[in-house]
Amino acid sequence: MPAIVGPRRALLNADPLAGLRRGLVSSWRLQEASGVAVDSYGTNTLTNNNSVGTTAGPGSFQARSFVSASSQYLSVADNASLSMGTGVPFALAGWVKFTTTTGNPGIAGKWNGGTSQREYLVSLLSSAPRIIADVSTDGSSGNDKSVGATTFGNVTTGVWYFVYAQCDLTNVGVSLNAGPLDTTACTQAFDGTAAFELGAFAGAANFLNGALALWALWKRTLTAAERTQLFNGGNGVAL
Amino acid sequence: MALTNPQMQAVRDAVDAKLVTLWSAIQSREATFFGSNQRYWQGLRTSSALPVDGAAAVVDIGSTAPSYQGQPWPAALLSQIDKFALEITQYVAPTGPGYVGTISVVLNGNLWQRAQDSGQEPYRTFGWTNQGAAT
Repeated sequence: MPAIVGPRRALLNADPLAGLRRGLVSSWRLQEASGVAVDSYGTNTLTNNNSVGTTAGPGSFQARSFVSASSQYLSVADNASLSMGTGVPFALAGWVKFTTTTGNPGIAGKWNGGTSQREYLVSLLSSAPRIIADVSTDGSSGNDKSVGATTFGNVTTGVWYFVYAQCDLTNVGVSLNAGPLDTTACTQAFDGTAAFELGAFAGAANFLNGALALWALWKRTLTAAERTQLFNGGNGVAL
Repeated sequence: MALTNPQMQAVRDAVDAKLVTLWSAIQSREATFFGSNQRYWQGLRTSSALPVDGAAAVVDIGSTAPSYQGQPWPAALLSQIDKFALEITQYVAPTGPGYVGTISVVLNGNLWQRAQDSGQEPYRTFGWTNQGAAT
């Protein structure tokens, strides 16, 4: 049998996830049993604060577990790769499961309201409870552009959700499980000094009681087809 | 009646003075704990309600401890808490472990905090900062 060479060979070797890595800044698979959360693509490996643990994730993946009463979260200091600012569209996506839905917990983002260093944030609005995306154009609460995943509706405990949030320099949008985007007007994210955090925001507040898996950050927005690819029928993919 | 700026400064100065001895004791505690556990100790916030305008703190953390750790605040440290609340968090950074102490008080309705890092992420240290309205 002749060896496959040339274009056919290249086709066989094609990485089906290569397109999803275009514009990718960081990928936190969150498959570690303990310790830091490695950035498998970029340079933003996350510090483990107060012994973030491990648990079963979506599909066949693992996840990192967070106990709010123990103030557990993952973080990395502000740097240029994680900052957006004028003219930079971006997207943030990953999986979350809640043990409890109280306390307005942070899920992912750079957001410190106390010092007017609000940039971008995915969190849970506990009163619904509903997942929301916030982007501040100048760090202030007055220009906090917030949108909830109202098309999907409320979330509950014990269920894995695939969350996607973006800012395309016209709107900030959020969707769950690769469904339609809910949007509100937003032209940019403030470039501030807040740390990037998974499982909390503002460092010492709003801790997640639940689990996270397969989070990633891009400096572009993703197409509907790409969001569906990431959702992968509820099984997720690791970038 | 609202505190004047000098009165707020006096509260912060009194807390700072108390911290000189307390932080030294915490460092000693952390060094001992690390020697036995290969990670630093976490202390949950000492008061559920933050002390206001220089009043004495109601230290009610008792024996409550993080679920993964099971070791609460030592009484010898809690007895040194005065007009502030203190929380110690620990971390494992890519460059190594560390811990942070965060002091909180409420002055004229605003949350004031300062933090001291001991470890690999010195960016966590900051001086007295008005974090906005206390909620």
